[in-house]
Amino acid sequence: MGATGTTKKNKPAKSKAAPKKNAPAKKKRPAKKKRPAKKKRPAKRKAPTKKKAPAKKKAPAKKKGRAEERRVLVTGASGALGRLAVLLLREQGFRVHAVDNRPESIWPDDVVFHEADIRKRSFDQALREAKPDAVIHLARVRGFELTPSFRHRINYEGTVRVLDASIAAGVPKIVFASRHTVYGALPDQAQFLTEDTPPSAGRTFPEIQDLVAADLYASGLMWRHPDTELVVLRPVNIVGPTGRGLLSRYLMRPRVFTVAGFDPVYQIIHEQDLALALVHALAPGVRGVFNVTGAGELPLHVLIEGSGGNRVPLPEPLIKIVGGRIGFLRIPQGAIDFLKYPCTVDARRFQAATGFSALHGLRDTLADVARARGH
Amino acid sequence: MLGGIGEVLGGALDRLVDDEIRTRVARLDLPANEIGYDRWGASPRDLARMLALVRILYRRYFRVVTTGLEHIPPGRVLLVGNHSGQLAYDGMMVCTALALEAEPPRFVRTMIERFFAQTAYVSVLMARMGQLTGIPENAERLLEEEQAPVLVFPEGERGGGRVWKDRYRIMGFGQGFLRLAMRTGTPIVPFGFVGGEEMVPSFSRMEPLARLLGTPYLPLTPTVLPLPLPTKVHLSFGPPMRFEGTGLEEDDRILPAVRSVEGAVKALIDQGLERRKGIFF
Repeated sequence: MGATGTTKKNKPAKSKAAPKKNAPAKKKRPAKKKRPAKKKRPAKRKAPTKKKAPAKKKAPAKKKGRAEERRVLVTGASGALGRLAVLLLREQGFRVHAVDNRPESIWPDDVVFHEADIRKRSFDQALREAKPDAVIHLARVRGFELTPSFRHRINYEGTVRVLDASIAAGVPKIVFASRHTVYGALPDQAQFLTEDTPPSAGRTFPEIQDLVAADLYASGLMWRHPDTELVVLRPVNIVGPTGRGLLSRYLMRPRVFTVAGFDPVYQIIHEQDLALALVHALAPGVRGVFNVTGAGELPLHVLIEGSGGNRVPLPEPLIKIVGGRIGFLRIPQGAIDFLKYPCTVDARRFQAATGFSALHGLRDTLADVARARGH
Repeated sequence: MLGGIGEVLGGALDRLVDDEIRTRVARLDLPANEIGYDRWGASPRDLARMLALVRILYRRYFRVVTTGLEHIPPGRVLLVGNHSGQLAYDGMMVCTALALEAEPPRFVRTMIERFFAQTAYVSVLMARMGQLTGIPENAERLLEEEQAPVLVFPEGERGGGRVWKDRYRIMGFGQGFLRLAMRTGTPIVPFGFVGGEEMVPSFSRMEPLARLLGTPYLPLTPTVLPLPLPTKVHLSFGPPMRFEGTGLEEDDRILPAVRSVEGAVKALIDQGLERRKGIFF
């Protein structure tokens, strides 16, 4: 498929050099008609970035011998994954602009923090100030206690806005972290889904339609903006020592129910590995939709018990009754399918495009989940 | 495997695991990861236990006579045969034959009914044994990436739930297996399974009741539960059949090939029927 997973080696060189003058991309794509600029565009993006401040270390895969510091803007930077990504990017020599609407977190001096809401004008301001060479969009809300309309406003409309604004600002590279859950866990679905599989979670799990819609919107943008290097990552379940993320919330409960008689295969990725994958996605030429997975596959019961959890298999009808009580997590019906059927992906395309492979093995990752349970 | 009961059961089964099973399972060469499972969820440990249990059925109960194993080529292959027995005793016996008697032993992946994947406990058991829901992408991946023998019953539940009056009649193969074989350049080894029809004779599929319970069919059998009678089983494999093509041909190019596989299976069934002296011996 054209838009998915192509890796053109030379693309970035031109898209970086050519549109130097002024807010690029946007201008040439739709014919001259001045659209009623939905956002006042950062028109005066003065011929940017010739600053010769030599980069200390450079991104993995720089090549293009320019001794210039790449600026990356990260949304949702104060989240567990965001924080890891920001710190890793900084370590790799990127100039990081961290965007979050939660002001409280503390950052190293060389990280520029913008207190901004991706739905508001404050985000456009952050984008104008940062003039990033790349945007990594991680901001999202999760949790099924949130109303669907709130989730929709942040996870879907917020994503649309971040992507649109970034493209309009001429950002040459955008990475959006979607999730493998968009494929859904269905009894008639193949194992090890490729990126060409249409996301079907909506069939049984309407609560995550916001994620599906955001993923499809982002994927669709690749056709409309072939000059922007847009990367949609669909990582598998994210776990790690911070104990954040949807699967972790399930695993961290005092009692972890499973559906009696079912034990699907799971894939997990260590949060640090995902941060690393985000850095890999920034490599020039990488563009498309990519599944991302960690160390390998394991049955759900090993995931729970191997990380020190107290597994309680329950007959399916009972789960609805005990959910939210006596130490069990309350989950919607659609989520129960993820405890019955595998939702596994084939992530070789990402590996081929970027050379990424996870550093954390299965046991190693399970030990870190157990550590998260500790505190 | 199945929680606490599973552990107790598993422990009991461990006593059945002897050197034959151990060396055979080791030679199956399952690509298990650091925690002892392959990527599909199969476990060599559970497989050894199950094989030890099913060996009793294979050698003592059904006294399976297997011929033609030498026809099975190394590498990827589609095993295609007639389905019978209401529950998948036939699939079990084919897998056991290849694990215990083929040289080298082969780990067969059966493409099973989706219904099993949706059934509590059965779904776990099947996954541990490496048996997967019959979805073309799964089969293709197993053939191309793992060079596995993949077992297909192209009659599907029409064969499995066959009633007494239709015994040993081919219920019509689908085209999917043939297109898959063409697309992946996989040889087809036909087999005939004799003894399955008398194992669990069924007089009705009781479809209205089955619909209520959400099963594809519900056998009406003399034994009430679909427990098998100790019939004598003859399992015969035939020479591999190869079909050139892309798998995207018109139906009228595919159907004659499907018919030829049906014919080969039918001939192997007849051969087995001829060889047996009676239903139970």
